[in-house]
This record gives sequence, structure tokens and C-alpha cells, in this order.
Amino acid sequence: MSMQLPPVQSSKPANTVQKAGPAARREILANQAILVPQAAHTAWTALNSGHGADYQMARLDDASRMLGVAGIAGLASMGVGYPGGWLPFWLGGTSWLTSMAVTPKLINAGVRLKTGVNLNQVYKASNNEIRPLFQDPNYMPLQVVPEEQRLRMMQRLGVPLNNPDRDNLLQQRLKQISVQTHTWWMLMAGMATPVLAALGCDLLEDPVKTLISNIKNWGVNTFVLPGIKGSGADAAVDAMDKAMNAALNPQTELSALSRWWKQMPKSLLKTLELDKLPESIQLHKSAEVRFDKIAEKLAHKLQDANQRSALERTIRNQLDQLEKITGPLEKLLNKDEELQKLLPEHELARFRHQLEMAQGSAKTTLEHFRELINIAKKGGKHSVLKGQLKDKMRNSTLAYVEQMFREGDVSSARRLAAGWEPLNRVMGWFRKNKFATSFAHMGDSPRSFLLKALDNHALHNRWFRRYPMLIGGFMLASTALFIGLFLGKQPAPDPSVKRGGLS
Amino acid sequence: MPGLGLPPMQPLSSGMLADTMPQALPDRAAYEDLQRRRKNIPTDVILNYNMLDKLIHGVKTFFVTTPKTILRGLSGAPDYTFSEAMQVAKVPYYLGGVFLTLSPLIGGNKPEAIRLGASVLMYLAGMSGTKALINAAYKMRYGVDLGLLYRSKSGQVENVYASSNFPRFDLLTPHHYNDMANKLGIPEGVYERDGAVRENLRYIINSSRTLKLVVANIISAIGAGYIARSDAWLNVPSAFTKLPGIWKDSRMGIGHKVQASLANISEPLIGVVRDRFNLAGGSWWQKAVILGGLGTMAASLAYIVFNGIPNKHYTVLKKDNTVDEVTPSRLPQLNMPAMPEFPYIPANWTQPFQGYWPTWGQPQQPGGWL
Repeated sequence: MSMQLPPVQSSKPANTVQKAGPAARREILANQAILVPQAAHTAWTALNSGHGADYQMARLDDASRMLGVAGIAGLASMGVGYPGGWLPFWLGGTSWLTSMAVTPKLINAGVRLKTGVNLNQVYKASNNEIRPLFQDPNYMPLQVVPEEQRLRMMQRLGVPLNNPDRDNLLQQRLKQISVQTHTWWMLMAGMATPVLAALGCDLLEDPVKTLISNIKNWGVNTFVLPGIKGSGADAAVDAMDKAMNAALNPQTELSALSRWWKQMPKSLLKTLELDKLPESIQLHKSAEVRFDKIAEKLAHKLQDANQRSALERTIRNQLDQLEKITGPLEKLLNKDEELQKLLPEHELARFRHQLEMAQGSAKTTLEHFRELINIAKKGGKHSVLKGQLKDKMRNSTLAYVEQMFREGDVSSARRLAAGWEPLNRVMGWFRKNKFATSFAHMGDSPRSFLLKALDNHALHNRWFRRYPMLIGGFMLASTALFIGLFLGKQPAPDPSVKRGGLS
Repeated sequence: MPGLGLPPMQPLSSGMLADTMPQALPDRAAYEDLQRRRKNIPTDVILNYNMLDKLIHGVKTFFVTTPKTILRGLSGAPDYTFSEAMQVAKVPYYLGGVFLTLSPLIGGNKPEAIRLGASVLMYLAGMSGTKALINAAYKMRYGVDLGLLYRSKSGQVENVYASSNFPRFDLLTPHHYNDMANKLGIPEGVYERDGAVRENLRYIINSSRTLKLVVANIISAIGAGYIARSDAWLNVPSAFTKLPGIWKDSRMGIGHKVQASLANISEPLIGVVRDRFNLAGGSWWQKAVILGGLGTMAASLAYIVFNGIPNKHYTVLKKDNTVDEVTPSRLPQLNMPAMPEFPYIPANWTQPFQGYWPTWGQPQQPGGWL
């Protein structure tokens, strides 16, 4: 009995076979978008039925590494314990993956400048997969590249167009270029990924934080505040909100004060050239060792009259700046009628008190440095001077404590300096606790003041300024040299091999 | 192969074969092999490496072959292969690990450097350990040595099963096929038994690679990050700095020194394990990470052992020329040796009536295993 096979049901004619060809922009984007779901499908199929192919496995490798990075970032941000602690980890993971993707593209751009070859090119294989054209040096299907483009590449790469073997020669040249570039990628990726990721984190952390808090503020301001205001139940919250909106605008004086508090220690460090201490000292784990070096440097500097006057000038400048910043703020708190109406008298008094304390402690800290100058003016041996400076800096009572004693009310002064708790809580809701943070670390002794300033300086400088620039510069220079000198360089013809053809 | 000077292919008949070929060379492939060896023609050969050989091969690959390959790649060698490109693609993992560890160290942040160094080491160890574990499980269950290497004509050492599209089945010997077929449960007497093995090998290559990618890239990476995150790692370098003092101490004997060094090194490491695998004291996400990770590992091993080959019917030609349908079990075939019989009891021995009361001292009838 012979069986009749049913006719083949197909929309296409039976003899057409889909060929590999160039890929459309839309298809390339879609291929990138389906990376993870397609990888999940590949894994499921392979584990269930055992079917799979090498290229799909490579895609699964990419996707699983991506998920691994996401998993590490997610896990790292689990038990951080402070709000916003998740941000650096996700930022780090994202910039890690981004720099992994960007490094080859940067090198490819250089290659394209030199040779005109676009190594990012992809094609659509006969099974509808979008694949990189130059991935496998032994299998580059150049037939998918249009004839015109191939001819242009031949002209650019110096392949003679009248050579009957020109396609083969082009293939050889492209293989050499792609192999060289791929190897260079691999050498650079190990260096570039940590460095670029660190640079990205450093550059992006503050803007992203601001962006997130702005977005959160927008939600609160749009949906929460109208409700609170309309209720009329919490007039104090309403009044404080308005007052803070007036006072905590980035352009206003209060914010300038907090910025000044960040900048002032830096300028002092710069004047005293403490930022030029070796990094091993700056980040030494023993505070006593660091303090000793600071005193040594100070004694050395202040023996010179020019240096003394420079420090004097810096202190005067800073005091002027303080006056310039706090004057309008004082005026606002004392004379602004709108604010007087909005805030009850006792709260205004608190603000005034905090402001006075900030001014007083800043002035006291700067006055301490003036006293150091006076000690140094008397002259004496370096070692003796160093000891005197050390004693002065260590034993001078904290400006903060002085302030409290001056007030005569230690407990309330402490409470005020730490910030009024309900206020801080409200500010926390609105993500606007700048007022509390700008007063949190005021009134230190010169010793802890300098040590803290040095810490901040060293931590800030460690990654951002030195290391990535150094390594990044090295990578840029070496890549430029490699592409300029070695890429696509043909070996000198062997004189022992005689060439055929007419001559 | 005309180039080798072999006689042209002749129609096969047993008499002719016996006349023209010596008894020691029963097949043509062996004869060709001998010819190649005589004329020093390189071929692809399987390398039966043991543990020590593999270790030496790994060291040689790391320190000699890879730098040479990098130089070949930088000069754009015309005979550069894809497997060489894959070899160079491993470089960023080592180089990146070194840079990741060194960067905070250069900046003077030693604790961060220690933490990052620990995480890099844990990552590399976790990846290679997971892959080795999965390979060992496949070897035990199916007899497939997924780490089997061969040396190609051009001298590169590559994996036989590196690709699932183009695996080098041509290099496998009947011994390999027999071993794998027995463990896969493919019955003898199946038409094209080697073909059945090859079909299942493709499935095994795909599923093992998928398992490796999923488990190593995701689970091991997360686990490495989790273990490296402990502050207990900060004690490890100080344990090493104490070692010279121990070895310079003249009062201790050599055994005491070794013991003290091991105790010194293991103490902070045990601290790490205590810190990280503290199920009772950990938070919910720590429990989830530990149990989830170990559970996934166990599940993948269970998958290897119990999944077996896809259900398939084999038609077996038996010796009496009858045909039988066989479906291999998906469960592992435990080929345990049978219990040896006691020699002093004949096989057809039947026990006579002993009486109604049990007596001791009589040899028992041997039963089967299980």
C-alpha cells in the first residue's frame, strides 16, 4: 500500500530559500530589546528538549551576565540601612554594563576614522538572526554587504580593483583589521570597565540624587501639600512650608551658607597646602599620625612671614564672605514682615539662634587660626613651634562648647544645634533637610576641623581626579598609537617568494 | 586519500580483507592512522589528560599560550581562529579583576581593596567551581567527559564539545561511544547505536551549557558577591602578615609551625563563613539568598541526575532475530555488581525441612542485591 503525502502548505514557492542580507534599523533595535526574553526561551528549550545553537547560547551568556550584575546590585542594596543607599549600587551596575558596551564602540570609532571600516555592522542571517558581521574571523559573510560599499572599502584599503581575486583580498584585509581590533578590545576592556564605571558613578551620583529628590518633591508638592494646606488643621506646617520655600530655595542665602561651609575648609587646606600631603598620610588610619603631620606642615609654613600673611588674608576673606552671606539672612529673619506673619515668634527665635551659633562657631574656628599665626609670629625653633601649635590646636575648647557656655544653657543649646526634631521630620518628608545638615557639623576644634576637611579632600580626590584620568589617558594614547601605527599594517613582502604574473 | 599513497578503495569481501591486510590492522582507519604517523602528517588527536596534566595545561595556557595568542591577534595573523578569539575573550576577566582590586589600593583605601579582591577571587572560584561541578555530574551520570580535549593539526588544544553545532564527534573512539551508550541506557543491538549516542550528546552539550550559564553567571555571581560583602574579610590580610613571624620562631617545631599557620589563616575564613551563613541570625533576605542559592544548585544537580535522556523508543534486534521495543528509563542506571555467591553452596541447592523451630548456624540462601 502506498501512502499519499499531503501537498506542502506554504505561502512561498517551494524553491525559494531565504538568504542572508542586510538588517533594517528596526530589526536591529528589536533584536536588542528581546535579548532577555529570548535568552529565557533559549534556556527553557535547552533544558527541556536539549535543542539549541551556539549563537543563541552566546546571547544567553550576555543576558545571564546582565542579570547577574542586576542581582548583585539588588542584593548589595538590600541591607544598607539608610535611605538612598541603593542608589550607588544600581548606578555602579548600570555604569559597569554601559562601559562594557561603550568601550568597543569607542575603539571602533577610531578604527573607522583610520580605515573607513564599520566594525559595528550587523547582518540578518538566513534564519532571521541579527548577527555581528565581524564576530567570527573565519566566517565573515561579506556577500551581505552591497557591492558599492565593498568597492569603496577596496579603494580605501588599497585593494587593486583590477585584481580578479579582489574579493578574497578584501576579505583578508578585513579579517586582519577585525582580529586586531577584537584583540585590542579585550586588552582594553579589563582596564576600561572599572575605570569608566567609577568615573560614571562619580559624575552621576549627585545629579541623579538631585533628580530623584526633585521627582519626589514634585509628587509631594503636587498631591500632598494642597491637601495639608486645605485642611487648615496644621497651620504651623503650612507656615513652615512657605517659610522654607522662601528660605531654602537654592538661590537664597541659607543654601549659600551651607555651600560656604563646604568650601571654606577647602580654601584653608589649599592655603596651608595641606592638600599636597602624600596620600598615604591623608588616608592614614591613625588620626594622631595625620594630626602630627598637619602640625609639622603648619609649623613649617607659618615660620614664613609671606605664608602667614597669606593665611591672614584667607581668614579675612572668609570672614567677609560669611558676613556677606549671613547679613541678608539675618535681615530676613529679623525684619521680613511676611515671614514674621507666617512663623510664630518662638520659631523665629530658634532660627535666629541657630544662625547666631553658626556665625559664632565659624568665627571662632577662624579666630583659632589667627591665634596660630600669633604663636608663630613670636618665632622659635621648628620643633618647639610645632609642639606649641599642636597644643593650641588640641587643647582649644571646641567652639561649639564655648558657644554653649556662653549661652549658659547647655542642654537647650545642644538640642538646638542638633536641630528641632519636628522641623527635621517635616523637612525629611519634603526631602529638604538642608537646614539641619548645614548646621550639623559646625563648631569643631581646629584639630577635628582640619582632619575632617582632609578626609573629605582625600576621599574626593582619590578616584575622581587622579586614577581614572591617568588610566584613561594611557588607554586613549595607546589606542591611538595602536590604531595609527599597527592597524591594518601588512607585513613586508618576503623577497624569497617570487610573485607570478607579468612583470 | 590519494595523497597518502593508499590503495584505491576495493569492494569489501572477507576473503580479500584477510589476504591484503595484516591481522593487526582490522580496519581502514587504523591503517590510515599508521600511514599518517609514518609520514609525520599531523592530525587531530584526543588528549587523555588526567588531573595533573590538566593543571599543567592550564598553567601553560595562562602563561604561555594566551600571551602568544594575544600577540598573534595584535599582528592580525591570517590563520587566526575563532577558538583563539574565545581564548583571548577570557583576558578581561583576569585583567579587570586585577584593576578592580588595585584601583582602591592605589588610592590608599585598603579595606575597599580587600573587599573587592575577595569578591573577584570568589567570583572566579565560583564560576570555575560551578562549571567543574556540573562537568563532574555529567561525567558520573552519562559518562560524557565535557572537558575532553584534543590537539588540532595546528597544535591548538581545544574542547571536543566546545560547539553544539559542530562538535568533534569524528574524534571519539568506540570505547567512548560504548561507555556513554551504556550509561545513557541505549540498549545493545540498536541500529546505529553510535548515532543514537551522538543525538543525545547534542542534547547534553546544550543543556549542560545552559545550566552552566544560568547557574554560574547568575547564582554563583550573586553568591560570590554575598560572601565577599562581609567585613570579616578585612581580617584575612593581617592573618597572612603574621605568618613570617611564625616561621621565623625557632622555638616551634615544623609540625607546630604548619599547624599554627593553618589555624591562623583558617580563623578569619571561618569568621567569614560564620558571618555569611548565619541562618538563625540573618535577616529575611539573607535567608532567601542562602536557601535560594543552595536550592538552585541542588535542583540543577537533581536535573542532571534524574532528567535522563528524552523518552525515546529504540527498536532492538535480538540474537534470535526477533525485534523488541525498548524505552530507556530516565532514571540513572545503577550498574551495581551482583553479590557474589558462596562457593560452597550449589546453585540448585534446596534447603531441606529444618523443623518448626528456627536454628542458628545454618548458611542462609543468598539473595540478589536489593
